[in-house]
Amino acid sequence: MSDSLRESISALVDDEAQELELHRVLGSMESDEQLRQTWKRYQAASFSMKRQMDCRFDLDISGRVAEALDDEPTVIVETSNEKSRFGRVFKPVLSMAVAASAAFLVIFAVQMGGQDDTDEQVAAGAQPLTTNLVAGANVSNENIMAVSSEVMTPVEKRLQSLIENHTQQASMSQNRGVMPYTQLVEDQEGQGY
Amino acid sequence: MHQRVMTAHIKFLLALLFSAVTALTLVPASVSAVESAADSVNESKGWLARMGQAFATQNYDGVFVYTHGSSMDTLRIIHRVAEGVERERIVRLDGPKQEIIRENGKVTCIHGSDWNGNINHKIPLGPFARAFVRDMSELGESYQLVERGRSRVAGRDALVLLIQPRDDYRYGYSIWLDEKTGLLLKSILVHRGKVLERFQFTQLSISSDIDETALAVGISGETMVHYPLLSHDEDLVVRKPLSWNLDWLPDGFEMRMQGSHQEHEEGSGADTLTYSDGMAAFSVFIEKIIDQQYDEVAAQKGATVAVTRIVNYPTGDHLVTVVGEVPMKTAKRIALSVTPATVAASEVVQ
Repeated sequence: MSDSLRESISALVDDEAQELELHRVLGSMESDEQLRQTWKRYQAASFSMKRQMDCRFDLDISGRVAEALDDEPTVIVETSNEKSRFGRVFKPVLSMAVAASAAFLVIFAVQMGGQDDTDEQVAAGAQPLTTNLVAGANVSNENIMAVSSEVMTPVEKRLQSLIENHTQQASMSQNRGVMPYTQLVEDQEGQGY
Repeated sequence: MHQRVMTAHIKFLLALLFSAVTALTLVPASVSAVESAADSVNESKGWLARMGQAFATQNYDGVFVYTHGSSMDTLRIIHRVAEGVERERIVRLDGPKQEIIRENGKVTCIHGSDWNGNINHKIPLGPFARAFVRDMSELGESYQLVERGRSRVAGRDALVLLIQPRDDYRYGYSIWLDEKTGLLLKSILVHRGKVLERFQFTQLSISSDIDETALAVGISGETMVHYPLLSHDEDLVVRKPLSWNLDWLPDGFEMRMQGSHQEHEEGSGADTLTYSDGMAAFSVFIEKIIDQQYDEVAAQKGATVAVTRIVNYPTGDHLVTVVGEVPMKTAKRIALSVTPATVAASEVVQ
């Protein structure tokens, strides 16, 4: 590794690199293991100096991303944590005006198809089974639990029914030939719209 | 080593470097993808068409898992086509015993005596239907099809395809197709880097030689025969043109069905519009509120979301509910955009 590259890395760490330097370093880094190690060392040094070492942060980002992509090709390269360093590929386009004006009743569970058993709910112990009123809240994926049909509120039942209707309609209107019985229904009802 | 005073822009720099390194990692792949784009897109579409056929025409016996939200189901599926008759048996392997038999358009659901739930439920079209139902060969401009090499699922060589959304209003998918037959071996539904649904064979044998006994019902219990839609009067959708407009619709979605039907017990009947972009679908239900009390609701499980809003139209208060396999923000925005055909959105009191 040349001294000039080393210097470029240092400049990069200090955020003083020119764009050309940046390209040169990144270009060389792809094939140069020693260069990558140097980069890591400089970064680590920089971190400890600034006392900004973040335990969650894996310095070998490129390797980790490549690994993650091999394992599970995600469509958008982004973590679920919106504050992550991955940056936000997409910004929320719509800020819900309605969220400010109306209280959303957030249902933490909508049972699908009436066939979920309650094992996980039992295992989860004293989780609230009823719906929770959260003003203006958005639904978070993590907060969804299974609820047995016996404890479904009228609101949940209503949504459940609509979801079933939607699923049927969607499969009827989308599918040709994959599911024979929906095809049958289609034939009897005509092509409709 | 050249010494410089470390500046305070570490975080910014890291972000910069990360994007650069990410670009480095990803750009070569995308460049080569562009070069062979025309060929590979056609080839990928061919694979999708093949996949659609494979489910109906191949003979197979396998075990798959289906996860959605916090739920995970393990099911066995046996499928055989013999002398023009297609027969399928799906066995639920977790929790109370349940089997579903499909034969020549007839669907039978069998529960074991240990079933503690409601036996009058509608036949769930999912999970198999949810995973299998999409006619991916009709993908329009809303998605980009990218081949992502080879992999292995359930011991079988697989081709990996990404179905990437071109905007943030719909989910993305990755699918693994059996190289020999085109059968879907695995699929994941992704939104913002998070897997919301996963379908995956853990064991699969594709063979023309499926034994008759494997297709026989394995439990005894109360047997119900369902003829979807036709057995439930309340499900009968009367298809007719409706006078509702959607002032906003994500690009690529088209109306596939409209009509009205009676559904839930207290319901006064709902007008229904179903839209699809070839992959995802959502339905809009509009009901007039007579004298009941309702709350506005936002709910999600796995990839399925449901949003209910109360809207005051000139003809009275209505419940507008959007249900579908779209991101929550899409559903919310759609729910805000429903108007009677004669009224512009700006005139509606929200």
